Amino acid sequence: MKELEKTNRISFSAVIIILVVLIGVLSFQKPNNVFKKDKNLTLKPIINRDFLIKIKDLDSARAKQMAFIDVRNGFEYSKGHLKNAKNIYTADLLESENKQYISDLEENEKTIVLYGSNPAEASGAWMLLTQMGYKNIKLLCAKIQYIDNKFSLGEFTIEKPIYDYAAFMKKATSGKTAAKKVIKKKVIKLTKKKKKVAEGGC
Amino acid sequence: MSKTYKVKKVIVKTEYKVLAALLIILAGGLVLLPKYEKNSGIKPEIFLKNVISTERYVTTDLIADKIIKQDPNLLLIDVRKKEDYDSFSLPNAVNIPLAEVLSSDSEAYLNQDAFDVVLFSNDQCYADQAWKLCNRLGYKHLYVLKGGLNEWFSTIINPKEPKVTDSELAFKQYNFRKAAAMYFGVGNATTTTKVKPKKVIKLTKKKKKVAEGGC
Repeated sequence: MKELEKTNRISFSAVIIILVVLIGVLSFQKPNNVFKKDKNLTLKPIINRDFLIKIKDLDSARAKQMAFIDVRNGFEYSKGHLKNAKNIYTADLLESENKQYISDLEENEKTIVLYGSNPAEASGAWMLLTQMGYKNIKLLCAKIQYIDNKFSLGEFTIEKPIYDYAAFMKKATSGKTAAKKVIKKKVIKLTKKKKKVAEGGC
Repeated sequence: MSKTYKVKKVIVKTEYKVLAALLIILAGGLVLLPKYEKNSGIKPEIFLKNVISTERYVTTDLIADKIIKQDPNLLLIDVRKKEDYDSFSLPNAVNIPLAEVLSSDSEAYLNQDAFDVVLFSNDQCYADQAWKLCNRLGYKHLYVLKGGLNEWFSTIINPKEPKVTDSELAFKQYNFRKAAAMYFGVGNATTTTKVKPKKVIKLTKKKKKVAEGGC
Protein backbone atom coordinates (compact mmCIF):
# COMPACT_ATOMS: atom_id res chain seq x y z
CA MET A 1 0.00 0.00 0.00
CA LYS A 2 2.99 2.31 0.47
CA GLU A 3 3.56 2.32 -3.25
CA LEU A 4 0.12 3.80 -3.81
CA GLU A 5 0.79 6.73 -1.50
CA LYS A 6 3.98 7.47 -3.40
CA THR A 7 2.14 7.44 -6.72
CA ASN A 8 -0.38 9.93 -5.42
CA ARG A 9 2.36 12.36 -4.59
CA ILE A 10 4.03 11.95 -8.00
CA SER A 11 0.87 12.35 -9.99
CA PHE A 12 -0.17 15.32 -7.89
CA SER A 13 3.05 17.18 -8.59
CA ALA A 14 2.99 16.27 -12.27
CA VAL A 15 -0.51 17.65 -12.63
CA ILE A 16 0.60 20.88 -10.94
CA ILE A 17 3.53 21.25 -13.34
CA ILE A 18 1.22 20.76 -16.31
CA LEU A 19 -1.20 23.33 -14.89
CA VAL A 20 1.55 25.90 -14.38
CA VAL A 21 2.79 25.49 -17.94
CA LEU A 22 -0.76 25.74 -19.30
CA ILE A 23 -1.46 28.90 -17.33
CA GLY A 24 1.81 30.36 -18.57
CA VAL A 25 0.98 29.62 -22.19
CA LEU A 26 -2.58 30.91 -21.93
CA SER A 27 -1.72 34.11 -20.11
CA PHE A 28 1.09 34.99 -22.52
CA GLN A 29 0.34 38.24 -24.26
CA LYS A 30 2.09 39.37 -27.36
CA PRO A 31 3.23 42.98 -27.05
CA ASN A 32 1.18 45.25 -29.29
CA ASN A 33 4.00 47.38 -30.56
CA VAL A 34 7.65 46.54 -30.87
CA PHE A 35 10.69 48.32 -32.14
CA LYS A 36 11.79 45.88 -34.79
CA LYS A 37 14.57 47.87 -36.29
CA ASP A 38 18.05 47.81 -34.95
CA LYS A 39 19.16 51.16 -33.58
CA ASN A 40 21.98 51.52 -36.09
CA LEU A 41 19.65 51.04 -39.04
CA THR A 42 17.70 54.13 -38.04
CA LEU A 43 20.80 56.25 -37.88
CA LYS A 44 21.79 55.48 -41.46
CA PRO A 45 18.99 57.32 -43.31
CA ILE A 46 19.36 60.27 -40.94
CA ILE A 47 22.99 60.74 -41.83
CA ASN A 48 22.43 60.14 -45.54
CA ARG A 49 19.43 62.47 -45.36
CA ASP A 50 17.52 60.18 -47.70
CA PHE A 51 14.51 60.21 -45.42
CA LEU A 52 13.66 63.68 -46.61
CA ILE A 53 11.33 64.56 -49.45
CA LYS A 54 11.81 68.01 -50.89
CA ILE A 55 9.03 70.25 -52.15
CA LYS A 56 10.20 69.91 -55.75
CA ASP A 57 9.79 66.13 -55.52
CA LEU A 58 6.06 66.63 -55.07
CA ASP A 59 5.65 67.50 -58.74
CA SER A 60 7.70 64.62 -60.07
CA ALA A 61 6.40 61.30 -61.31
CA ARG A 62 7.11 59.76 -57.92
CA ALA A 63 4.40 61.90 -56.40
CA LYS A 64 1.70 59.53 -57.63
CA GLN A 65 3.04 56.86 -55.33
CA MET A 66 2.98 59.12 -52.30
CA ALA A 67 0.44 59.07 -49.52
CA PHE A 68 0.46 62.02 -47.17
CA ILE A 69 -0.10 61.92 -43.45
CA ASP A 70 -0.58 65.12 -41.51
CA VAL A 71 0.75 64.62 -38.00
CA ARG A 72 -0.48 67.92 -36.59
CA ASN A 73 -3.47 67.95 -34.33
CA GLY A 74 -7.02 68.08 -35.65
CA PHE A 75 -7.39 71.80 -35.06
CA GLU A 76 -4.34 72.68 -37.16
CA TYR A 77 -5.45 70.22 -39.82
CA SER A 78 -8.84 71.84 -40.12
CA LYS A 79 -7.20 75.20 -40.83
CA GLY A 80 -5.60 73.84 -43.95
CA HIS A 81 -3.77 70.78 -45.23
CA LEU A 82 -2.32 69.17 -48.31
CA LYS A 83 -4.71 67.65 -50.78
CA ASN A 84 -5.34 63.94 -50.10
CA ALA A 85 -3.61 64.10 -46.76
CA LYS A 86 -5.00 62.07 -43.90
CA ASN A 87 -4.83 63.50 -40.43
CA ILE A 88 -3.20 61.25 -37.85
CA TYR A 89 -2.01 63.20 -34.84
CA THR A 90 1.36 61.98 -33.55
CA ALA A 91 -0.16 60.93 -30.24
CA ASP A 92 -2.68 58.67 -31.99
CA LEU A 93 -0.18 56.87 -34.22
CA LEU A 94 -0.26 53.66 -32.23
CA GLU A 95 -4.03 53.23 -32.32
CA SER A 96 -4.91 50.05 -34.14
CA GLU A 97 -6.96 51.64 -36.92
CA ASN A 98 -4.14 54.06 -37.72
CA LYS A 99 -1.57 51.29 -37.69
CA GLN A 100 -3.85 49.33 -40.01
CA TYR A 101 -4.11 52.33 -42.34
CA ILE A 102 -0.34 52.67 -42.48
CA SER A 103 0.31 49.01 -43.08
CA ASP A 104 -2.34 49.03 -45.84
CA LEU A 105 -0.44 51.83 -47.52
CA GLU A 106 2.75 49.89 -47.07
CA GLU A 107 1.21 46.85 -48.77
CA ASN A 108 0.18 48.98 -51.73
CA GLU A 109 3.82 50.02 -52.03
CA LYS A 110 3.07 53.65 -51.40
CA THR A 111 5.67 56.06 -50.14
CA ILE A 112 4.29 57.42 -46.91
CA VAL A 113 5.16 61.08 -46.52
CA LEU A 114 4.75 62.60 -43.08
CA TYR A 115 4.53 66.32 -42.54
CA GLY A 116 3.99 68.73 -39.70
CA SER A 117 4.27 72.48 -39.41
CA ASN A 118 8.01 71.93 -39.79
CA PRO A 119 10.20 68.85 -40.24
CA ALA A 120 11.10 68.81 -36.56
CA GLU A 121 7.46 68.32 -35.57
CA ALA A 122 7.04 65.29 -37.79
CA SER A 123 10.44 63.77 -37.08
CA GLY A 124 9.21 62.09 -33.90
CA ALA A 125 6.49 60.31 -35.83
CA TRP A 126 8.99 59.38 -38.53
CA MET A 127 11.41 57.97 -35.99
CA LEU A 128 8.70 55.93 -34.28
CA LEU A 129 7.30 54.37 -37.45
CA THR A 130 10.72 53.68 -38.96
CA GLN A 131 11.97 52.00 -35.83
CA MET A 132 8.85 49.90 -35.66
CA GLY A 133 9.83 48.45 -39.01
CA TYR A 134 7.52 50.24 -41.45
CA LYS A 135 9.15 50.73 -44.81
CA ASN A 136 9.07 53.68 -47.15
CA ILE A 137 8.36 56.29 -44.53
CA LYS A 138 9.61 59.73 -45.53
CA LEU A 139 9.54 63.18 -44.08
CA LEU A 140 8.50 66.26 -46.00
CA CYS A 141 11.19 68.89 -45.66
CA ALA A 142 9.03 71.99 -45.71
CA LYS A 143 7.39 74.38 -43.36
CA ILE A 144 3.73 75.21 -43.44
CA GLN A 145 2.85 78.83 -43.90
CA TYR A 146 -0.37 80.70 -44.41
CA ILE A 147 -0.27 83.46 -46.99
CA ASP A 148 -3.53 85.42 -46.99
CA ASN A 149 -4.97 82.60 -44.92
CA LYS A 150 -4.18 80.18 -47.69
CA PHE A 151 -2.28 77.02 -46.90
CA SER A 152 1.08 76.71 -48.65
CA LEU A 153 4.42 75.02 -48.27
CA GLY A 154 7.61 76.97 -47.79
CA GLU A 155 11.19 75.90 -48.33
CA PHE A 156 12.93 74.72 -45.22
CA THR A 157 16.52 73.64 -44.86
CA ILE A 158 17.31 71.67 -41.79
CA GLU A 159 20.43 72.43 -39.83
CA LYS A 160 21.15 75.64 -41.69
CA PRO A 161 23.13 78.09 -39.58
CA ILE A 162 21.67 81.60 -39.82
CA TYR A 163 25.02 83.12 -38.98
CA ASP A 164 28.55 82.17 -39.81
CA TYR A 165 29.27 81.61 -36.14
CA ALA A 166 33.05 81.83 -36.25
CA ALA A 167 33.02 84.96 -38.41
CA PHE A 168 30.33 86.53 -36.26
CA MET A 169 32.31 85.94 -33.11
CA LYS A 170 35.42 87.37 -34.77
CA LYS A 171 33.54 90.54 -35.55
CA ALA A 172 31.86 90.66 -32.17
CA THR A 173 35.16 90.50 -30.37
CA SER A 174 36.05 93.87 -31.96
CA GLY A 175 38.40 92.55 -34.58
CA LYS A 176 41.21 91.76 -32.23
CA THR A 177 40.82 88.11 -32.73
CA ALA A 178 44.41 87.65 -33.78
CA ALA A 179 45.29 87.97 -30.14
CA LYS A 180 42.70 85.45 -29.15
CA LYS A 181 44.07 82.09 -28.48
CA VAL A 182 42.35 79.21 -30.06
CA ILE A 183 42.15 76.54 -27.55
CA LYS A 184 41.68 73.12 -28.86
CA LYS A 185 39.20 71.09 -27.04
CA LYS A 186 40.03 67.63 -26.19
CA VAL A 187 37.57 64.87 -26.17
CA ILE A 188 38.68 62.33 -23.73
CA LYS A 189 38.40 58.87 -24.98
CA LEU A 190 37.77 56.36 -22.36
CA THR A 191 39.12 52.97 -22.89
CA LYS A 192 37.82 50.00 -21.14
CA LYS A 193 40.23 48.36 -18.90
CA LYS A 194 40.74 44.80 -19.70
CA LYS A 195 40.30 42.56 -16.87
CA LYS A 196 43.04 40.27 -16.00
CA VAL A 197 42.23 36.69 -15.65
CA ALA A 198 43.00 35.55 -12.20
CA GLU A 199 45.91 33.30 -12.20
CA GLY A 200 46.35 30.37 -10.05
CA GLY A 201 48.68 30.33 -7.15
CA CYS A 202 49.05 29.32 -3.62
CA MET B 1 -1.74 -10.83 -3.11
CA SER B 2 -5.32 -9.89 -3.34
CA LYS B 3 -6.95 -9.30 -6.64
CA THR B 4 -7.80 -5.68 -5.94
CA TYR B 5 -4.18 -4.89 -5.23
CA LYS B 6 -3.15 -6.26 -8.61
CA VAL B 7 -5.77 -4.19 -10.38
CA LYS B 8 -4.61 -1.10 -8.54
CA LYS B 9 -1.03 -1.78 -9.55
CA VAL B 10 -2.02 -1.90 -13.22
CA ILE B 11 -3.90 1.39 -12.89
CA VAL B 12 -0.89 3.00 -11.23
CA LYS B 13 1.41 1.81 -14.01
CA THR B 14 -0.79 3.24 -16.77
CA GLU B 15 -1.13 6.46 -14.82
CA TYR B 16 2.64 6.84 -14.86
CA LYS B 17 2.73 6.32 -18.60
CA VAL B 18 -0.01 8.87 -19.26
CA LEU B 19 1.66 11.47 -17.09
CA ALA B 20 5.05 10.89 -18.66
CA ALA B 21 3.54 11.18 -22.13
CA LEU B 22 1.79 14.43 -21.19
CA LEU B 23 4.98 15.95 -19.87
CA ILE B 24 6.90 14.96 -22.99
CA ILE B 25 4.22 16.47 -25.22
CA LEU B 26 4.30 19.69 -23.19
CA ALA B 27 8.07 19.87 -23.41
CA GLY B 28 7.84 19.44 -27.19
CA GLY B 29 5.16 22.11 -27.34
CA LEU B 30 7.35 24.60 -25.51
CA VAL B 31 10.09 24.10 -28.07
CA LEU B 32 7.65 24.74 -30.91
CA LEU B 33 6.24 27.95 -29.37
CA PRO B 34 6.25 30.70 -31.99
CA LYS B 35 9.11 33.12 -31.78
CA TYR B 36 7.93 36.62 -31.05
CA GLU B 37 9.83 39.79 -31.75
CA LYS B 38 11.67 41.06 -28.81
CA ASN B 39 11.69 44.74 -28.11
CA SER B 40 15.01 46.41 -27.60
CA GLY B 41 15.02 49.57 -25.53
CA ILE B 42 11.90 51.19 -24.15
CA LYS B 43 8.38 50.40 -25.33
CA PRO B 44 7.07 52.30 -28.34
CA GLU B 45 4.14 53.63 -26.28
CA ILE B 46 6.50 55.23 -23.78
CA PHE B 47 8.74 56.51 -26.55
CA LEU B 48 5.74 58.21 -28.15
CA LYS B 49 4.83 59.90 -24.88
CA ASN B 50 8.40 61.14 -24.46
CA VAL B 51 8.48 62.46 -28.00
CA ILE B 52 5.28 64.46 -27.58
CA SER B 53 6.40 65.93 -24.29
CA THR B 54 8.40 69.15 -24.57
CA GLU B 55 10.14 68.51 -21.28
CA ARG B 56 13.44 67.85 -23.03
CA TYR B 57 13.90 71.40 -24.29
CA VAL B 58 15.98 73.84 -22.32
CA THR B 59 16.24 77.54 -23.17
CA THR B 60 19.40 79.35 -24.17
CA ASP B 61 19.01 81.70 -21.17
CA LEU B 62 19.08 78.79 -18.76
CA ILE B 63 22.15 77.29 -20.37
CA ALA B 64 23.97 80.65 -20.49
CA ASP B 65 23.23 81.07 -16.79
CA LYS B 66 24.53 77.60 -16.05
CA ILE B 67 27.72 78.12 -18.04
CA ILE B 68 28.41 81.41 -16.30
CA LYS B 69 27.80 79.90 -12.91
CA GLN B 70 29.98 76.96 -13.91
CA ASP B 71 27.38 74.42 -13.00
CA PRO B 72 29.34 71.24 -12.35
CA ASN B 73 26.48 69.04 -13.50
CA LEU B 74 26.24 70.52 -16.96
CA LEU B 75 27.72 68.68 -19.92
CA LEU B 76 27.26 70.22 -23.35
CA ILE B 77 27.45 67.95 -26.36
CA ASP B 78 27.78 69.30 -29.89
CA VAL B 79 26.27 66.85 -32.38
CA ARG B 80 27.38 68.75 -35.49
CA LYS B 81 30.21 67.66 -37.73
CA LYS B 82 33.77 67.97 -36.57
CA GLU B 83 34.62 70.86 -38.93
CA ASP B 84 31.74 72.91 -37.57
CA TYR B 85 32.71 72.08 -34.03
CA ASP B 86 36.29 73.13 -34.67
CA SER B 87 35.32 76.50 -36.11
CA PHE B 88 32.91 77.39 -33.30
CA SER B 89 31.24 75.74 -30.38
CA LEU B 90 29.93 76.57 -26.95
CA PRO B 91 32.47 76.72 -24.12
CA ASN B 92 33.43 73.33 -22.68
CA ALA B 93 31.35 71.45 -25.21
CA VAL B 94 32.26 67.95 -26.26
CA ASN B 95 31.89 66.91 -29.88
CA ILE B 96 29.94 63.79 -30.73
CA PRO B 97 28.83 63.96 -34.38
CA LEU B 98 25.36 62.57 -35.00
CA ALA B 99 26.86 59.68 -36.95
CA GLU B 100 28.73 58.54 -33.87
CA VAL B 101 25.95 58.96 -31.33
CA LEU B 102 25.45 55.23 -31.07
CA SER B 103 29.08 54.21 -31.00
CA SER B 104 30.44 52.64 -27.87
CA ASP B 105 32.82 55.55 -27.24
CA SER B 106 30.01 58.05 -26.95
CA GLU B 107 27.92 55.81 -24.76
CA ALA B 108 30.06 56.84 -21.80
CA TYR B 109 28.92 60.44 -22.31
CA LEU B 110 25.29 59.76 -23.08
CA ASN B 111 24.36 56.88 -20.85
CA GLN B 112 25.36 58.08 -17.41
CA ASP B 113 23.96 59.43 -14.18
CA ALA B 114 26.49 62.11 -13.23
CA PHE B 115 25.62 64.95 -15.63
CA ASP B 116 22.67 66.71 -17.16
CA VAL B 117 23.64 66.36 -20.78
CA VAL B 118 22.47 69.09 -23.16
CA LEU B 119 22.64 68.25 -26.85
CA PHE B 120 22.80 71.02 -29.40
CA SER B 121 23.25 71.56 -33.13
CA ASN B 122 22.59 74.41 -35.55
CA ASP B 123 18.83 74.43 -35.29
CA GLN B 124 17.97 71.60 -32.85
CA CYS B 125 16.91 69.19 -35.60
CA TYR B 126 19.96 66.94 -35.31
CA ALA B 127 20.13 67.35 -31.56
CA ASP B 128 16.50 66.32 -31.36
CA GLN B 129 17.11 63.25 -33.47
CA ALA B 130 20.11 62.29 -31.39
CA TRP B 131 17.92 62.70 -28.32
CA LYS B 132 15.26 60.44 -29.81
CA LEU B 133 17.77 57.76 -30.72
CA CYS B 134 19.14 57.79 -27.20
CA ASN B 135 15.73 57.97 -25.58
CA ARG B 136 14.67 54.81 -27.34
CA LEU B 137 17.62 53.06 -25.77
CA GLY B 138 16.47 54.29 -22.37
CA TYR B 139 19.23 56.82 -21.69
CA LYS B 140 18.34 59.37 -19.06
CA HIS B 141 19.33 62.94 -18.11
CA LEU B 142 19.38 64.12 -21.73
CA TYR B 143 18.14 67.51 -22.87
CA VAL B 144 18.04 69.50 -26.10
CA LEU B 145 19.01 73.13 -26.47
CA LYS B 146 15.89 74.81 -27.83
CA GLY B 147 16.57 76.46 -31.17
CA GLY B 148 20.19 75.33 -31.10
CA LEU B 149 23.05 77.62 -31.94
CA ASN B 150 20.86 79.82 -34.14
CA GLU B 151 18.78 80.63 -31.10
CA TRP B 152 21.93 81.04 -29.03
CA PHE B 153 23.24 83.70 -31.40
CA SER B 154 19.99 85.57 -31.79
CA THR B 155 19.27 85.64 -28.06
CA ILE B 156 22.50 85.54 -26.08
CA ILE B 157 25.23 86.82 -28.39
CA ASN B 158 23.11 89.26 -30.36
CA PRO B 159 19.97 90.01 -28.34
CA LYS B 160 17.23 92.24 -29.67
CA GLU B 161 16.61 95.38 -27.69
CA PRO B 162 13.11 95.35 -26.24
CA LYS B 163 10.67 98.10 -27.15
CA VAL B 164 9.95 100.87 -24.72
CA THR B 165 6.49 99.48 -24.22
CA ASP B 166 7.74 96.02 -23.30
CA SER B 167 7.46 94.67 -19.80
CA GLU B 168 10.05 95.07 -17.12
CA LEU B 169 10.78 91.38 -17.43
CA ALA B 170 11.80 91.80 -21.05
CA PHE B 171 14.29 94.49 -20.01
CA LYS B 172 15.67 92.34 -17.25
CA GLN B 173 16.11 89.50 -19.70
CA TYR B 174 17.79 91.84 -22.17
CA ASN B 175 20.21 93.08 -19.55
CA PHE B 176 21.05 89.53 -18.57
CA ARG B 177 21.66 88.61 -22.19
CA LYS B 178 23.87 91.62 -22.74
CA ALA B 179 25.95 90.74 -19.72
CA ALA B 180 26.09 87.11 -20.80
CA ALA B 181 27.26 88.16 -24.27
CA MET B 182 30.12 90.05 -22.66
CA TYR B 183 30.99 86.99 -20.66
CA PHE B 184 31.15 84.99 -23.87
CA GLY B 185 33.58 87.51 -25.36
CA VAL B 186 31.46 90.01 -27.28
CA GLY B 187 33.21 93.41 -27.46
CA ASN B 188 36.02 92.07 -25.39
CA ALA B 189 39.00 90.37 -26.92
CA THR B 190 40.91 89.60 -23.79
CA THR B 191 38.60 87.25 -21.99
CA THR B 192 38.86 83.76 -23.14
CA THR B 193 36.59 81.36 -21.48
CA LYS B 194 38.39 78.67 -19.70
CA VAL B 195 38.20 75.31 -21.24
CA LYS B 196 38.00 72.42 -18.98
CA PRO B 197 37.23 69.24 -20.77
CA LYS B 198 35.08 67.11 -18.66
CA LYS B 199 35.90 63.66 -17.69
CA VAL B 200 33.22 61.09 -17.77
CA ILE B 201 33.92 58.11 -15.73
CA LYS B 202 32.71 54.98 -17.27
CA LEU B 203 31.20 52.56 -14.93
CA THR B 204 31.80 49.01 -15.79
CA LYS B 205 30.25 46.21 -13.93
CA LYS B 206 32.68 43.97 -12.35
CA LYS B 207 32.43 40.48 -13.52
CA LYS B 208 33.04 37.83 -11.05
CA LYS B 209 36.27 36.13 -11.63
CA VAL B 210 36.30 32.45 -11.80
CA ALA B 211 38.59 31.19 -9.16
CA GLU B 212 41.36 29.29 -10.68
CA GLY B 213 43.84 26.95 -9.20
CA GLY B 214 45.01 27.15 -5.69
CA CYS B 215 46.15 24.90 -3.02
